[in-house]
Amino acid sequence: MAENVLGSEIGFQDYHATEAIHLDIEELDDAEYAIPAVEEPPSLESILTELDSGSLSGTEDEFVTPAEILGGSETASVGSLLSLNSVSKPFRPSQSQSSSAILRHVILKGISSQISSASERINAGLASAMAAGGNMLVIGTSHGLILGFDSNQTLRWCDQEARHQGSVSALCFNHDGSRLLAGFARGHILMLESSSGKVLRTLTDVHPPGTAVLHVKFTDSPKLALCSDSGGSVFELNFTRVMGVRGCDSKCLFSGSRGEVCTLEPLLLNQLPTHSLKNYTLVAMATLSKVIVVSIRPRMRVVLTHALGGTAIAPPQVSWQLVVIQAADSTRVVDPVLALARDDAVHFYQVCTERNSRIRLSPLQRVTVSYMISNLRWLNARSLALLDTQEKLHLLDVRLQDELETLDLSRVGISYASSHFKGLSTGGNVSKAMALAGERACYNTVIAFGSQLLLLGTKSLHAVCIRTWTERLRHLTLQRRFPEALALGLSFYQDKGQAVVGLCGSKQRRKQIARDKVCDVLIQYMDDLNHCSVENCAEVVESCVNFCIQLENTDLLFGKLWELVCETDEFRGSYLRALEGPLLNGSLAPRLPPLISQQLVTLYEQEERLDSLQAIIVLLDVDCLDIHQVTKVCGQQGLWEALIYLQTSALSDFTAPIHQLMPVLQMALANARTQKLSPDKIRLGNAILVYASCCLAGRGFPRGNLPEGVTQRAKADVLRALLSQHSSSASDAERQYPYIRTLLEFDAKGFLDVITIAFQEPEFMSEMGLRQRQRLIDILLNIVLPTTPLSPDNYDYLTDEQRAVVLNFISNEVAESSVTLEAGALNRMVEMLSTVTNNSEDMSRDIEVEKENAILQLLHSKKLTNISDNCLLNLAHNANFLRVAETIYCGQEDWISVCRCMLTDKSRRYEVWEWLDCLPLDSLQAVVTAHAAELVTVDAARTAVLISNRMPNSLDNILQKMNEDPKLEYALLGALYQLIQYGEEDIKMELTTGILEKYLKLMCDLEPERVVQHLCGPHGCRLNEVLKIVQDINHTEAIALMLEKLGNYQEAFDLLLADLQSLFEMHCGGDIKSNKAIQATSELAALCRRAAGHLDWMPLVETVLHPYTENNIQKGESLQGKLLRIVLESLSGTTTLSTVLEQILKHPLATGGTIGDIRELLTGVLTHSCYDQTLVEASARLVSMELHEALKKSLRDAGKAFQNVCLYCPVCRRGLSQCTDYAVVFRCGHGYHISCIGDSKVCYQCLRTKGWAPTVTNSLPTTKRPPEKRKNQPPSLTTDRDLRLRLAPQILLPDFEGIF
Amino acid sequence: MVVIMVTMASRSTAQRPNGSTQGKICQFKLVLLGESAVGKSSLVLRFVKGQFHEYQESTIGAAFLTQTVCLDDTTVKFEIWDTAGQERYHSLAPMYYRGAQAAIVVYDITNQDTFVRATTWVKELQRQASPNIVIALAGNKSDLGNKRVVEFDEAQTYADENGLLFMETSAKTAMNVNDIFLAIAKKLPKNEQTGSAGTSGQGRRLVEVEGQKTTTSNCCK
Repeated sequence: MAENVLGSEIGFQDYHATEAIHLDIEELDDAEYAIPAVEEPPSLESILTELDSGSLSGTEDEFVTPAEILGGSETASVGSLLSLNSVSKPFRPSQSQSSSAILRHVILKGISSQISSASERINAGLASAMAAGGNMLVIGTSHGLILGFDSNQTLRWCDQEARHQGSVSALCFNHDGSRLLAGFARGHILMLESSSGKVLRTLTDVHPPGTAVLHVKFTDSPKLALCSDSGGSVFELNFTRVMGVRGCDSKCLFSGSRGEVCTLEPLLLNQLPTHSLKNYTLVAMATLSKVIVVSIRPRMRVVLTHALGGTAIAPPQVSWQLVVIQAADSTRVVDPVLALARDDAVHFYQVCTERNSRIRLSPLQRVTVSYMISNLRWLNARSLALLDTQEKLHLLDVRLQDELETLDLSRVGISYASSHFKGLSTGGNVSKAMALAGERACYNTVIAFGSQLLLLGTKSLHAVCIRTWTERLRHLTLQRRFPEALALGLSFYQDKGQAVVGLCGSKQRRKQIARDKVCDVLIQYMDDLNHCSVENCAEVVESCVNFCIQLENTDLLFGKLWELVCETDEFRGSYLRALEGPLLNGSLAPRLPPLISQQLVTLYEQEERLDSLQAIIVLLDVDCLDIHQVTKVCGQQGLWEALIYLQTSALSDFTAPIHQLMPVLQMALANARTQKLSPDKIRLGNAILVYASCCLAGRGFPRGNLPEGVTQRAKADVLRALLSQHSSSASDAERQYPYIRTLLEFDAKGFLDVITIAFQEPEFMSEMGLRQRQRLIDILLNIVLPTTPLSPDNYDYLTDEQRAVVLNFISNEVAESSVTLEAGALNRMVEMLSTVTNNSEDMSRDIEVEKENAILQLLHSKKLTNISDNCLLNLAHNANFLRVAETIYCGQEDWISVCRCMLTDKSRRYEVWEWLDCLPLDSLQAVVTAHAAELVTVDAARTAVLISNRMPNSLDNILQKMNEDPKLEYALLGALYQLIQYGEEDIKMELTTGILEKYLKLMCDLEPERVVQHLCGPHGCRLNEVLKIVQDINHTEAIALMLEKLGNYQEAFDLLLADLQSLFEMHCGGDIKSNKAIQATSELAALCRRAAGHLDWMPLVETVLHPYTENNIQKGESLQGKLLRIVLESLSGTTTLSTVLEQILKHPLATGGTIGDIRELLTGVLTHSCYDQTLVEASARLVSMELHEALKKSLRDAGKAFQNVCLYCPVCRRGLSQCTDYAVVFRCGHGYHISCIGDSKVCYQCLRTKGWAPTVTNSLPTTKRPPEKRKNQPPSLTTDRDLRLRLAPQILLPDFEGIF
Repeated sequence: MVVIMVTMASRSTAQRPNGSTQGKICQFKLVLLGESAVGKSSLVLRFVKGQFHEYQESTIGAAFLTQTVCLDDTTVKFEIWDTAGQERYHSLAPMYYRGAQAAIVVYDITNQDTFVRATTWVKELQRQASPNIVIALAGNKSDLGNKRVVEFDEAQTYADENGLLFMETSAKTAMNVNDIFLAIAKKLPKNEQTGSAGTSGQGRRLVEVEGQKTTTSNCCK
């Protein structure tokens, strides 16, 4: 086929993989434009004979710039194609560079020139419609000509029969391209044989006359076609052939009166061999307001209606596309998808066949664009071409809803069908809406053919298609936009590309094809390096490396690319640096050719990127490394981890790292006595520790796992190496076990942690393992228990801290019974642990605690049975190991000592209470008595609780114990008092009067200011005693209080008055403030009030008004005024008003002398007086009311009759009637003989059953008469508003006589 | 014409020694084996850099060097693994001679033990290495002829019996050093490299280079 020829010409092997329905796209031969114009217009026949010409001069001048002519000198070859692309760029200046890579725009110059020449020479008019099918392409012109072209753009035939029918308005091929339908502006429809152009049928009366044909469409069935006219109606054309005579029946499918159809599109399924929809004929029709999908065959049925709004001039669009849909169960279904659009919205519907073979259209999605759509065509299942009214073509990715590219097509000069819609050739009898919608209609001039879009201009034919992926790559490559090309290629390779055309096959195969292609591009890019300047080389090299890695092409990476870069230092540097990231993040396998890894190590060493270098070395496989080089570099630069890794993984020698690196650390530590350990050496030490830990725990270093079978050996080797008696190059001075000593010195805690972790391994649990443990412990013990004392200057001196840590570790092990120690060693160890070091400042508290813990552990695990308790106690006391001592005492049940230990330990003294709670009573008493003072010091309240709960009887003992310290005594008593008075729990204990008095006494001594408050509360003392006590300490207030309580008001008053006088004097002397005097006066006044009637308050007034001093009259007077006011105000209730007034008037001086002051004072006094009066009245009224209510009740009760429930007296068991004197019936209903009831006069039965009984109120026998009725009225005083005071007025007792 | 480029190993592709339009590049992995202190590293150093150190430090593990030799129209690129002779590194050797196309077993002509050791190496190679490996036996330190212990004939006989290349070399005087490498290069099969390259993994392969690209042909500096 010609396509293949073209493909091979261009040089793409996979070009033919694109759809077979591609038209041959041939460029206009620019070189031939130079042919001069012919003077005489040739006839149509002559044009037809000019098969290859297309060489009419000047016809396309408006499309071809001089640059194009110059550039496109080659004939249809790659060159011309590309030159077209490159020169066509100036036409699209607005487009961004990167976006022009997907769509390819070509002019079909052969056809275009024929159109032009036809219009010029035979007056064919402008192109107005086209159709493509089979391997034919037909173009209709505005003067009714139909030109048929084959796939070589050669004009095959020309049909002029319908010149009178006006312009060709619609064209359509049937599915195999053998028949052609042509619709005309004046209403005729022709059926032609497409290969020859012969007219088979002329349909003149299939639709109403006077309307233009807008669409003619074949359906899948060869006998059925559809057409629509400018009246908006749709007709169904059934072709018949009876006896060799061709005919046609038409039937109106949709009348324009119900909505005018602008476009219709039948669903064509004949490409598919089988499909469940094959039996159906579906047509999508778009009217001006909605889209209707109907199934015509087998039955007429509406499947979908979808309202479609939008601007009036926006032509509605419908378009079908078969889409492969991958269902969830991985079956592939080919289902048609309908795209409908108007204005700026595109809707998608999928056709589904339901189980009952009904057709349903389900909505998929909706896309809104930013322009007005004038045409919509599918290019492939994922890509949609949208032409907007500005004649820009937009490529839309349906799945991602991304706009991939925009192409300006304004130079096409698209031929619009507006004249057909307006029905100009038939008199313009169309609706306004139709005419408006047809303004931008190009249904028959923009069509999709396979995966390309054909656009018919008035004088030219253009094709736009998506470039195949190779073409896109090549396009970018030729423009030397390599990074973009590679990124695009990578997206193909990773199956993420958009609008991919031409890449097919299985996924695996697609990947392979893409990879090969991209690699080719990459190679070109690499070749570019030779011309690349040094500045941007780093970037280029780096991207090359990255692409190689992402394409998983190590051959290219280590082969060609390396060869290119290895000669220039800069290139090589950036190459090697670019390897780091992928190596570390694992996207590149950790294998490099040895040469490259060698260079990498050299480079990184030079650039001192040591951390990265170490990471890379540790990562790489050993056989890629130049071990000699790397070992030396690591040794020099201190990459200890890498060094250890090399030795273990390459040589699988687990002892070498220890034997080689330990001496280094040893030396460093020896030097470190004078200066600090360098960070490098600290890293070394840590690396060794980690290494030892990894190996002993059976893990790989620095990560991962050891290979199978090596674990055992690694553990054994490392342990053996660590336990070496001497290092390989030992001096005579070296002591035994240098490595362990070194590690202990470096980081004792860390090292012991390593060993602890190792001991958890099963290897150390077996019998052999336990022996190993024992050995290790023995060695450690040997090291820390030197036979000869060592000075700090000595070579292997351990600090006390390190020693303590080790001893602690050992005791741990001993306590766990995993190792045993001889008694002697154990003794020495304990001694060692309990040695008090002289330089206590250096010894931090932690170490001591650790030591103590060690001994405790041993004690708890009962390992110290062969050391006598006394000996241990001595040691503990010397070392101040209180907990140890405590434990020992516990063992001896010497609770007093235990308690002492606890109390001595500041951090644990608060735990004593819980412990005490658990003690049995007898030992508790002893303990508390022994340590009473300390306990109270720690927490008096807790002690009080303890005493009150557990041992209330031994309080005296305890108090005796504390005799010498009244403060403690007082604290304890106070706590007890508080507890008993205010404690929430039930306290059974009570304090005796003696103790309370003692407490008061102590309080007087220690806290006199609390005494008054205490005495006001329930102090529980004898009043006389209290008085004595307070008199002893001469506490005026308290004495006065007690005197008052004893009823000795006068004395109390005198006392306070004396006090006040002294205060007064002091105030006048300026010693104290007036507050105190005021307070004292208030108190006095209060006393007077309380003792109302017992006291004469006049002395107080006298005192207040007594002129005391000469020197400070003013001050005294102001105070006097205040005091007097207080006195007068407070006394007004108890003294007659007249006396008060008299006093006020008598001492005008005290009130400041002014009438205003007096008025104020008087008002105050009167207010007080009024208040008191009201108070008295109110209470009197309340009392009277109460009394009245009670009376009323008893009267009512008395008026009720009672019945005795029993006819005999329960005492003598005889009938009540048989009485000698008279019978008594109680209110409860029980009756007795008066003689039987006795003197108590109560109801015995009620007394027995209820516990109480009514008594006889009036047992005098009366003559029986009805009680006189009395109306109960409230006493008059309750209503009386008389202000006279009437306390308890005489109320007549009601007459109870006659009740019985 | 045979030219040995004394430049560093990596200078290769773009430079054509004699401007020949067609050239092949062959890459071979070569491993040096032998007792410690027989002069393996010295031999390689002499071949690669043309240097000789009286006191060559002993190799740790293995060292890697490359050298390119031009042989008629073929460029032979040697990837040389100079292994350490010490016994503790013996376990490393298989990693290097596995997949190697050529091996040089070195002994010291002044030390009979090294020759015995060399024979055991040869046996190990014949047993364990790839069957078509090219093995060369080098009696080094031939400048110390007065202290000779291993006779030339003895070694030659042994080499002949085992189908080895044999030369007595001296890294100090450079005697036979280049020759032995060249002899190996000649003996190595150059056309079926693609097959062996595929199996051996590390990017050894045959590359066809178009001649017209060469811009500078300044070899033999």
